[in-house]
Amino acid sequence: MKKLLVLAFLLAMGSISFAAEPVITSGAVKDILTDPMDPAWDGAGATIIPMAPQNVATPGIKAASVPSIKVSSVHNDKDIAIKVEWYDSTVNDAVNMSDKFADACAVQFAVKPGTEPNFMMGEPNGPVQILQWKAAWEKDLAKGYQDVEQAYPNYNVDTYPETKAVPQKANYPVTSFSPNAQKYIAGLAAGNNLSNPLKNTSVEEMNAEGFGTLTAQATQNAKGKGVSDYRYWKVVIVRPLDSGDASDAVLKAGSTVPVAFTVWDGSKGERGARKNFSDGGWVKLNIQ
Amino acid sequence: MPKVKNWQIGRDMEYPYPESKPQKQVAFIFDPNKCIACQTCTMACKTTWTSGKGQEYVFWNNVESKPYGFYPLGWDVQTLGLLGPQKWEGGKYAGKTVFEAAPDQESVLGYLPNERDYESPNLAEDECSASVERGEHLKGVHKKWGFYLARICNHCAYPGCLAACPRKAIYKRAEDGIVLIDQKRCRGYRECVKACPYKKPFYNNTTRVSEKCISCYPKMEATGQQSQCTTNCIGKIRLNGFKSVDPAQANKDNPFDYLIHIRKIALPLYPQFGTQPNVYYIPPVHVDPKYLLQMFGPGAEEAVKAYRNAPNDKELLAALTIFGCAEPMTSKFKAEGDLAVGIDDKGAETARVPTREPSFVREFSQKTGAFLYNNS
Ligand code: SF4
Ligand code: SF4
Repeated sequence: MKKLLVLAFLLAMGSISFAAEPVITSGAVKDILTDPMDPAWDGAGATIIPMAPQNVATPGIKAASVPSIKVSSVHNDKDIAIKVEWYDSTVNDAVNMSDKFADACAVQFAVKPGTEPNFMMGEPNGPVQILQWKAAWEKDLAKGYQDVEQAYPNYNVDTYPETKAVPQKANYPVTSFSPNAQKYIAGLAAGNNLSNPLKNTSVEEMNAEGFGTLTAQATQNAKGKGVSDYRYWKVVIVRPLDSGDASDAVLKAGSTVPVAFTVWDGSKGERGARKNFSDGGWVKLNIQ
Repeated sequence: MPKVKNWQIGRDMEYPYPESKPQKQVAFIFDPNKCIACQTCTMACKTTWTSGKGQEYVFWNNVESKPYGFYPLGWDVQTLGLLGPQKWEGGKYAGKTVFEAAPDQESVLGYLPNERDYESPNLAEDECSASVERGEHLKGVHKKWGFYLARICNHCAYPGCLAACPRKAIYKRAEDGIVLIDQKRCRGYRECVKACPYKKPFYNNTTRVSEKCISCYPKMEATGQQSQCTTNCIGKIRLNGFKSVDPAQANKDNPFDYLIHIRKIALPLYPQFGTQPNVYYIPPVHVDPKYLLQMFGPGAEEAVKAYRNAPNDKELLAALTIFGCAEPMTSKFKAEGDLAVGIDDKGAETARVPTREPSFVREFSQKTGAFLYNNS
């Protein structure tokens, strides 16, 4: 009787698959879906993936703050789009204040075809490609680089090194600084991706070969869009199936590849290794 | 977890990485007895390193009025509170360090300050331990106390910041023990801000990565001079140079080794935290000994005694007198009669100063009825 009930429940869930080992199916479409709110996603199917707390490496979290995510995918033989949805009652998109952390999610692929390196950030000689969508970058794109004046609209400053006197309460973006003045913005001068005020994507592309090795790629060719819709983050990450970049995984239609997911809840102070990952590690992505 | 030797707590302790000693260790000695809280050091540092966008609230150097001044708010009492009451058994710390007390899923016991903890950089300025009743100071010696605590990053032997960074973006330079945050590798997780018991890494709101005191290494490398906060100090309370890494190899000509290891008059700040900090303090002599014990460890009482006796202790007086007398780093000192002589690592003299200020006694003038003279 119990079994029957479960079966009936599964059937009632329609196209959502609840299999013990979830498989995400990426169906072929004509035009790639870049907007998470596009109604065409309804036809793409969805897979529920339970999440687990990262507690292997310190720092970690004790319990998953996001119990599960819903993943859909489509491709058009050129690009692949992956949609990740999860419940988060608070929108956290500020990283321009010392005690604030932002929501984010990431998708991970194995770079070497046919391999399944350690699903936690890969392993030496087993590189992974990580695409991280950041709520903070989404806000930068929508409203301009979020800086001190956005965090503290009433702040006062006389001047910064090598800049002219700052008109009080004026917007004084780093992009308007002379090259010399920009040298005093250490992270920017050092070439840190995070410090670059000129954002053209909300997705950062990185590689890793184990804990602590995450490195931003020289060529950034992923795009994305995230929308908070009635307390659900709906995020689409789009990348070329074959970007021609040697540090990216090559994805081919007609193949099944391993993929892993991570979600961060900024309101709980999650960042870096304090995160939720797809329970069991790699999930199968069937690119039809 | 590997075990490392921490001489400041008189025992081995747990640390996430095995022992790896630098060739030499940058060190600072501050003498709070002489600090006047003019904040010249703070401004020297601020104008040199942290006047950029995103660094508005950042003070790599700050001077706070103890016991109630803090930057950020409550930094030391918060960590002491997290640790809870702990004990010293003689020179050995019987309690837990911030590494040994780390909770599940953390490598260091710490807290991330609230943004508002940075609101008041000089909160409780000039407040003393309790209010002095009206006229109390006229009735004799009162027991109320206060002092100015100048603080920078301690370039710890076992940095909490470094231990907590999951990206290994923080490193301790092998050549001089300076602790730095790689501005390209940092991803702004603020694990270092959370883990440093001294709260000396700061998050940059513009670059979205963390930064900290760099011990003025570009100045030191280019000129051999002491840090900006040291050479600009009005009260001449600071000395910046190198100490021997191993206390057993302390050299009595080296003013750092002499004051830290041989005379044990310059003490680490909160040694019980376990990071083996390398900024050393001469305990302020008029402060409640219990407070000094908590802040500087069990050596505080003896240090105060020795300091009080410095006028009769030629060598100690010479070592204390070279503070603030030269821009170059002094690696050796000696007492020559009533003179203190500082020498750099190439043998050149950096300072030659009298250990006693020349004094002149004015006679009482019957004519004016005062000690004051003018031409009349
Ligand atoms: S004082 Fe703090 S920031 Fe400086 S080395 Fe020690 S733990 Fe790191
Ligand atoms: S410059 Fe010297 S005397 Fe003045 S506040 Fe700083 S440490 Fe104290």
